[in-house]
Amino acid sequence: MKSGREFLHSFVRHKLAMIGLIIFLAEIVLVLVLPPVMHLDPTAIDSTHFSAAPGGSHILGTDDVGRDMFARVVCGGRISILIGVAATAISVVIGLPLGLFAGYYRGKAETIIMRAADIFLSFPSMVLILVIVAVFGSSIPALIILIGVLNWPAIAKLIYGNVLSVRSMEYVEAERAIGTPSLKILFQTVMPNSIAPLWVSLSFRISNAMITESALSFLGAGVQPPTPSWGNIIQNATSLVVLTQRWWIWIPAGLCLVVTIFCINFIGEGVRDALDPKMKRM
Amino acid sequence: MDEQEPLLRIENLKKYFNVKDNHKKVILKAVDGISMDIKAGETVGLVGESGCGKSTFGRAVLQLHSITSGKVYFRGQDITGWNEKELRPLRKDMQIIFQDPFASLNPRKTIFETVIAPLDAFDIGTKQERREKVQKMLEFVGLPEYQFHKLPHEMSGGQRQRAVIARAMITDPAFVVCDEPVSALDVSVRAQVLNLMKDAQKASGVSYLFISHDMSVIRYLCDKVAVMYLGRLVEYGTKEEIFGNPLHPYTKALLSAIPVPDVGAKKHERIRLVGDVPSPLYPPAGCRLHNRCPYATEECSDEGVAQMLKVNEDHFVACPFTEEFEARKAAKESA
Repeated sequence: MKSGREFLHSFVRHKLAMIGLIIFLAEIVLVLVLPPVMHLDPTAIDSTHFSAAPGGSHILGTDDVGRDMFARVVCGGRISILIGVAATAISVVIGLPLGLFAGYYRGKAETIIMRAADIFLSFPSMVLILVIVAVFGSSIPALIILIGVLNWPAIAKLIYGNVLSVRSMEYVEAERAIGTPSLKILFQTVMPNSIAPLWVSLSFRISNAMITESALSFLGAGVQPPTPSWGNIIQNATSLVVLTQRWWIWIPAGLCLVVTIFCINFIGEGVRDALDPKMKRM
Repeated sequence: MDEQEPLLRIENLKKYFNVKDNHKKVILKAVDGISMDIKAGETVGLVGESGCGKSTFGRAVLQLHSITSGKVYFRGQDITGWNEKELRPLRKDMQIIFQDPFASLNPRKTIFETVIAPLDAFDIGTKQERREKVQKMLEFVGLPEYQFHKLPHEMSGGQRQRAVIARAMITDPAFVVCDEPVSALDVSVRAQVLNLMKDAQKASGVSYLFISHDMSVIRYLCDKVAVMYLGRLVEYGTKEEIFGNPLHPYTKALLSAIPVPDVGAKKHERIRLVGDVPSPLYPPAGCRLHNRCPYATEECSDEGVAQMLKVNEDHFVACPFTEEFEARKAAKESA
């Protein structure tokens, strides 16, 4: 088994992953530290500057009601990253064990879990979220839970497929032949050999959650204005005037979203490669 | 020697699988009533074509597959249907060597970790003793110290198979199922691995159930030979009997297919079977070979012809007509 030190060694040598990790960590520090330090208020209105271009007292300009775009992008980042990461964590917490058990124990567990996953996948999740939000109202914790719960089948199916192929390998049977208890085989032999694709898929799941949040914001069911999120800031670009003439309102948030997704993707690849026993060891 | 209690006694072992063929539920009789005794220190070869149920039989004997019916006695104890927990103490005495050295080693564990795992699992000896034992075993199978901490993908097929043998032998088992252990190896490495297994047997007195489709490997290694066709034994006996006096048409066909490495040798008669192996889902009634056998008549499709008959102490065959072959051949030729 690769030790923690070996893992770190190979991860550090993965240049893109290291760049991704540094930028992502920097982003998290910035969105957490900047608002209290610079006294950023994303909802404060400057009635002397409406739709002002960047420069002067507003580094990134203001939107059409005179709110500072820099403050909105920074505070929006807090919400977007939180929703992406937390919702994906919930999906993994539900999907990983269900996928492992369905693939490893087959039989009834498999039928029930995988049919449930199919039902979740075939149901238009957007409609479901809209209905639930309409009935119970929207809040950030509710959004995180909803997006997280609705995304578990993607994780479960990915893991399930891999477990199916790993469990039939002879090294798993060899474990049975030396009498290793079956739960121990599942967690010590089957799981480490079947979760590699999860690391890459995590980045898709996180970006997917962020995109779902922005789509919901557009429909009025996501993060409620005036609270900013990258999603609802970008939605401003649906106005033709903003899209063509006021780039400062949507491009910074869009760039942040793209850069974040790239970084998470690189980190995912780096972790996968560092865990791969076939990569050259130090 | 006849009174010696067999290490392993298998009685009428059956393993059926429920499968679907065109959405129809069918029972696949992978192993359909096999009995055999395996004595301590003995090597029994199990030969047969691919898909005839050899590997299923090997795994069923070790209770890695739950068995449909029949009994397996290990050291006189009926172990049929024991659960994982009950079997655990026996596992160190019954091991398995797999066919594919690429699939049978965990890609994330070094060779040393893989070989020490059974000792850890059975809690044998102190930590220091375990390490020394693994070291000795790896050296015995011909893996020098600088390779101990390699991962499987960093080694060749032959080296991996040595590691697999080391893992199976580390707990000093009394019985090892060898499921085509050399068929994935190159011919030059094959002999080395076979000799290694012979040496291990000499050193520890282990019994092997040696599964193979290669008659020359069986001839080299085994004391007894069991010939299997579509889930049943067709002939069983000592190596001398089976190779010197094969009686069943299937055994004859298998043996006559071995190439003789001598250009000047007298051309021996080839017994040719007609057609292909039928689907194991729908095996022929009676003797399962009757639709391919050159000597078959109508009687051969009666249930009951396929009973094992005793030829002598060391030889059993599942064909009642072995003495009529010449007459039948003549009759067919004149017809």
